[in-house]
Amino acid sequence: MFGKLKTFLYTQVYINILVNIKKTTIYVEELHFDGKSQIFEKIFDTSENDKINGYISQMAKKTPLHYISLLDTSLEQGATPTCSSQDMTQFCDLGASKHVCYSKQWGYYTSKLDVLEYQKRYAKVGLDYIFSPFLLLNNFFKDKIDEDLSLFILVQNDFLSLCVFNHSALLFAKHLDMDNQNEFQDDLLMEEHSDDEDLSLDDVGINLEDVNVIDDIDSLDDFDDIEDLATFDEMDEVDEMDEFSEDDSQEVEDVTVTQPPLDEENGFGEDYHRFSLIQSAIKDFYLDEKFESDFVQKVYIANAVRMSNELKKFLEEEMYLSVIVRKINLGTELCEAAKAEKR
Amino acid sequence: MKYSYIKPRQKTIFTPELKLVLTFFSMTLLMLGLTYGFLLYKDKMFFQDKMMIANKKVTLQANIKEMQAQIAKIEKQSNVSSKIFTKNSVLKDSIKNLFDLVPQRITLSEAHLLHNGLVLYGITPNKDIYDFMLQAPLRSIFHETYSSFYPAKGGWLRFVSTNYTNDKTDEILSVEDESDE
Repeated sequence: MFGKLKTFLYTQVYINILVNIKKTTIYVEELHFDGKSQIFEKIFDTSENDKINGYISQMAKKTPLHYISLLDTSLEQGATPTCSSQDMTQFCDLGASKHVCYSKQWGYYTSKLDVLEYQKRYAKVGLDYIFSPFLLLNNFFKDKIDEDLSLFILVQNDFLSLCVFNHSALLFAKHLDMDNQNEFQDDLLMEEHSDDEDLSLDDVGINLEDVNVIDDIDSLDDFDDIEDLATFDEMDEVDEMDEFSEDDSQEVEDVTVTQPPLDEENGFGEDYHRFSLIQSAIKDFYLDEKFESDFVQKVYIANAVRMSNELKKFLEEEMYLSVIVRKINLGTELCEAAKAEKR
Repeated sequence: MKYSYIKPRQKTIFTPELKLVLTFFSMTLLMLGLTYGFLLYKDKMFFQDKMMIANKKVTLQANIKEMQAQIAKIEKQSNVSSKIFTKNSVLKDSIKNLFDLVPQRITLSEAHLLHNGLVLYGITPNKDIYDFMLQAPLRSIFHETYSSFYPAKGGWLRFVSTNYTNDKTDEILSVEDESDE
């Protein structure tokens, strides 16, 4: 009753912070009592902390009912197939981590230090919620995770969050940093190691051109096609090929969205990078005894970036996976998570 | 659902602006309430005063009526007293005149003042003194004068003098007096 009165008196403002290495997106949803909403989105350089805090303060000042949410980007984060503290110790250091259990089935964790770091960075405006990308992935593919074993991937600009669900049971999860070059190189090394069953340290300075990650030589010819296809027109077609593009059911009065242009040349490299990371993660899933592994046949990708069709092609052609791509608006999903959390 | 790593901060709807507005409105309401209460009190007091004054008015009206009745009674008594005073003055003058009329050598033992006459009882040393000194003035005043004598001790005579004017009278005023001349 009092809550309804509060929402009647004041509009609710959900401020969602999506941090990438270079850019930080502030997605704001202003929710009115009559159900109408206004959405604002602004992108800042991540280094412009004062500007970001200023914009958040400006939005927060509109109403006392403002909720500031942050999507966790900690490299120390992950998810565990269990909620039991005893079993979780083999996946993370419980003393240094904050963990949350989801429906008593599986859990996710992040570094306590990183949480403190976030709170320190946004001390001026304050934080109400910090959500794991695994939670968003779970919410986004809620209709799919109860099916047979599938790999779910959340593709962000600088991060990849992967998890494998089998009938709602989490089997494997990994959060990967795209800009972590060492990790990328390690992945490439692991590929060679898996091919040769012998890890050669001389190959550390490996060049992308020298990497032989694709067994089938015919598929190399596709690279030419890839360059041809990666035009803006075809990108639009790719967007249309997404499983569905969910319209916002809420009435949106005003939307201020600034999308960065897609860099065609970088697009291919990034997709290949993502493919490599996914491939290595799947290998981890298969090889690591911690995880109850099974053969992955389906991949669901939540695409939060202006990704080309190449990643899908790589996964389908190189790993024989059935790939379904859905566009995801991380701001909206984070906002929905905050709304659900507030209830 | 608790799926966030941190707990949300407490949200209060009481912003400084709202606090100011609420303070202003509460002060206004308080003042209005106090004014209303004061007016109610004054209204009640006024009503009580009105009732009291009405009662007082009724009492005063009753008192005025009573006082008016008293005034009328006193006026009546005053009139009666002035009438009696006048009558007594007249009577006093009459008696004074009567006594002035009686010579020194004659002694009255009884006198009856009538509305239209005078009856005198007394003793005289002799009849001549009576005739010259008392009967003569009585005849000048009254229309009819009758005298009768009875001998008394030492050669004196007792007399009864009955004098009337022409008016008939039933009322008799009796005055008993003994005068020692």
